[in-house]
Amino acid sequence: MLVETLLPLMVFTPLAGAVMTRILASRENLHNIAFSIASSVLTFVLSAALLLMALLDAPQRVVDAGLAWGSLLFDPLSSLMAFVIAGISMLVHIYSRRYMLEESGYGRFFSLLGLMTSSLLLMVTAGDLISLLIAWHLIGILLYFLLSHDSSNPEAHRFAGWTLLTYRFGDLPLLIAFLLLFQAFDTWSMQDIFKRLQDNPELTTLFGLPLAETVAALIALSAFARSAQFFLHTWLPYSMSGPTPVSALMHAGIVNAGGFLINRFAPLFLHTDMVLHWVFIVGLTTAIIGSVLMLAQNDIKKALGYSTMGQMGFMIMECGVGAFSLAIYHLIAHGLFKGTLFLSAGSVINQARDNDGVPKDDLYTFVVEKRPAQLRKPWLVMALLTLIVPIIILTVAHWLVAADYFHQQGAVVLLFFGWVTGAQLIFATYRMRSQNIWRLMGLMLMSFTIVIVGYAFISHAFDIFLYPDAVIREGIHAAAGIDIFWFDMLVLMVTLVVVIGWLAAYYADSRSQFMQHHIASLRQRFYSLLAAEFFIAAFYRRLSNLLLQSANRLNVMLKWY
Amino acid sequence: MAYLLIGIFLPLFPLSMLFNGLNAAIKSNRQRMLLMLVWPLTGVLLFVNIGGEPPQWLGIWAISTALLYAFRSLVIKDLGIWVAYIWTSTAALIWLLLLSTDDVRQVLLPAVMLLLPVSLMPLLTAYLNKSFGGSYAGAVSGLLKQMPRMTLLLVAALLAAIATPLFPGFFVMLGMLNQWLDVLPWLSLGLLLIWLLWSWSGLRLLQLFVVGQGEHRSQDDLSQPLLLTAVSSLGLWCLLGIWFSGSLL
Repeated sequence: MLVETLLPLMVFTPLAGAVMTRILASRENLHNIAFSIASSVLTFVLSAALLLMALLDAPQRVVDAGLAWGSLLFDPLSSLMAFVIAGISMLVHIYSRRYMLEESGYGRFFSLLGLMTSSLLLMVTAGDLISLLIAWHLIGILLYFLLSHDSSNPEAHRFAGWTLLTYRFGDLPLLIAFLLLFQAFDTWSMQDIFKRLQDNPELTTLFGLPLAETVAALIALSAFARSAQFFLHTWLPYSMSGPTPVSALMHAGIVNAGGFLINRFAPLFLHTDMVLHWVFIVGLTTAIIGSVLMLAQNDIKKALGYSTMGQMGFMIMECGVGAFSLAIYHLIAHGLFKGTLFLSAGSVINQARDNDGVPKDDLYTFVVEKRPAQLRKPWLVMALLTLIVPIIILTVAHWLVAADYFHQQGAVVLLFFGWVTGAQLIFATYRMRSQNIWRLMGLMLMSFTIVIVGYAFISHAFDIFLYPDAVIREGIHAAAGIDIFWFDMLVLMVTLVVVIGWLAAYYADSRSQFMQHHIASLRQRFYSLLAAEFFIAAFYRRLSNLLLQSANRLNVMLKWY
Repeated sequence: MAYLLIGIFLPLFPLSMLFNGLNAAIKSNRQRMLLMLVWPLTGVLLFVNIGGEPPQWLGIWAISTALLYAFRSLVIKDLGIWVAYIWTSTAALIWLLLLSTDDVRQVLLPAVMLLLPVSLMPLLTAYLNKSFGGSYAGAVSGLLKQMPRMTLLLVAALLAAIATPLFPGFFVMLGMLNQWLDVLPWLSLGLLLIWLLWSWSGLRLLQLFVVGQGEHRSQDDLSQPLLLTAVSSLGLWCLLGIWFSGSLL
C-alpha cells in the first residue's frame, strides 16, 4: 500500500512544483522558486524511501490507474534509477537557485527543470510502453527548451535543435518496436509482454522477421540516438552552449538513458541472438572515436562532450557483452562524476584566475610545451605491469566472488583489454616521472586492485540486486556469448592492437628518416581528420542544407500553393 | 471522379493547391480559421454521401501529399503559410482514417483531435498581426523577450499542432500507425517520416520566432487571465486526449 502511494507521489511532485513555479513566475525572485526546490527535496526523500524498500526486498509491483496505459512499475531498477535522478535533480535545483539568478526567465527555468525531473522519473518507472514512449518523447522536447534557455543566443538554439532532431529520430524506432510488441501480444503492459515472450520466444513479426531480434534491434537503435553513439553523436559535443546546470543534468541523467532502456528490456534481449554483438561493436566504435576526438579538442567544453561520448560508448559496450548491471553502475558513476565536474566548473575557473594549478612537471611540458620528457621507463616493465598484474587481480577477484564468474563473463575480458590499452597509452604518451619508479608501481598496483576488485564486487552486487532471477542473469550472458573460436580471435586481435599501440607510442618520437617523413605525414593527415571531427557534422549540415534548398525550390516551382 | 472532388476538401496534391490558393486569397485570419474547420468537414460529408469502398491507392496518394507539404513547410518563415502547409499535411491524413474503417463516425473524433489545434492557429496569427501591425511580415524575432506570454501560448499551440505528447494528436498518430503497420508497413514508415518532418519544421519556425534580442517588452502581450484561460484550455485538451486515448490507440 505504501508503494502504491509513494511511487505516483514521487513522479508527480516535481510536476506540481513546476506548475506552482510557473504560476508564480511573474514576480521573479528567490522565493518564487521555493516550491520548486521543496518539491525536488521531497522527491529525493520519496525516492530514497522507495530504494530502501527495494533493498529490503519489497516485492515488485505495478501501480496503475485502471486505463489502457499510465502504470508505474516498482522494481529494483526503477527504484535505483529514480533515486539517482532525484538526487542529481535536487542538487541541480539547489545549485541553480543562485547560479541562474541573473538570467532572464528564472521561473521558466525552474518550471522546465521540474517537468524534466518528472519526465525522467516517469521514464524509469513506466510500467507500460505508452508511458515510457511519452516520457522518452517529452525528455527530448524539454531538453531542447532547457538547452536553449537563453533566447538571445542563436548558437544555443541551433545546437539544441540538433539535439531535438536526433532525439526525435531516435523516438521513431522505439515507436515501431513498441507497436510491434503491442501487435504481437495485444497489451501495452511491459510485465505481461515479458511473460508472454518468455512462453513464446520464437514469435515472428513483419516480413517474417523474428520478433525479439527485430524489436531488440529497434530498441538498441533508439538507445544509440539517446546515448550519442557513433553517427548519432554530433549533437552532444555542441550542446554545451546551454546553462551549466543543464549540462550537468544532461550528462548525469539524460544522455545515459540508452543504458537504462537496454536494461529495462533485458527480458527481451535474452531472447536475441545477434543484437548484443552489434551493440558491442557500436559501443566499442563510439568509445574509441569519442576518446580519440576528446584528445584532439582544444575547446574544453567540446572535449568534455566527447569524453561523455566515449563513456557512453563504454556503457553501451558493457551492455553488448552482457554486463547489463555493470552498465547501470557505469552510468551512475559517470553521472555523478560528470555532474560534479560541471557544477564545480565555475569555482575552478574562479580559482584558476589566481593560480592555474598546473604542475610544471613532465606532464605539463609534454601537454603544454610539447616537449617530450627526458627519461623513459623501461617499456618491458610497464608492459608486464599493465598486463600481468591486472590479470592476476582479475582472476583472484572473480575467484573470490564466484567460481564460474570468469567463465560466464568471458567477453568482459575484452573490456579489460581495452582498459589496459588505455592505461598503457597514458604511460607511454605522458611518460610520467620515472625517478620514483617504486612509488609509481605501488600506485598502479593499488589503483588496479581497487578498480578491478571494486568492479568485480560492484558488478556482482548490482547483478544480484537488479536481476535477482538467476535465469535472466544467465540468459543475458548467454545472449551476449560468442563462439570460443571468435572469442579467441577477438582476444588475439585486441592483443595485437595493444602491442601495436605500445610500439607506436614507443617509437612515436623516433628521429629516424622513416618516422620523420612517412609516419609524421600520416599523423598530420590523421590529425586533420580529427580536427574536422571526421566530417560527420559537416556531412549532416550539407545534407540538411540540400534538403532545405530542395524544399525552397519546390515551393517556388509550385508558387507557394 | 467522385474521390477527386473529395480530394479538394481532404487535400490530395495537386488538388490541395486550391485550398492553399484560397487560404492565401483570404485576408482575415478568422475567416481562414473558419475555412480550415469547414473544409475537411465538407470532405468527410461528401465521402459519406458517395459511399462505396475507396481504393487503397488513395492512402498512398494521401500520404505523399502529407509528406510533400510537411517537407515544403521546412523552409516557411511566415506563420500564416506554415499553418496552411501543416494543415494540408494533417488534413490529408484523414484519408488514412477513412480507409481504415467502415464506420465514418469513428473517424470524426480522431480527425477533430488531429486538426483542431492547427485550425485554431490563425487566431494567433491574427493577434500577432494586431500587435505588430504593418511591419509584421509573418515572423517576429525575439518574441520571447517582447511577448513572453504570447510566446508560451505559441509554443504550446505549435506542440499541439505537431502531435507532441500529451496532446491528442499524439494518440491519433500512434493509433494510425498501429492500424497501418501490419497492412502497409511502407505507408507507416511514410507516416513516421511526416511526424519527423513536422518536428523539424516546427523547430525551425520556433527558432525564427523565439531567438533574438527583441527590441523591448511589448505592451500588447496577453494578459495573465487570458493566458491562464488559454493554457487551461490546452490542459483540458490534453486531458481529453488522455481520456479518449483508449479508443484512439
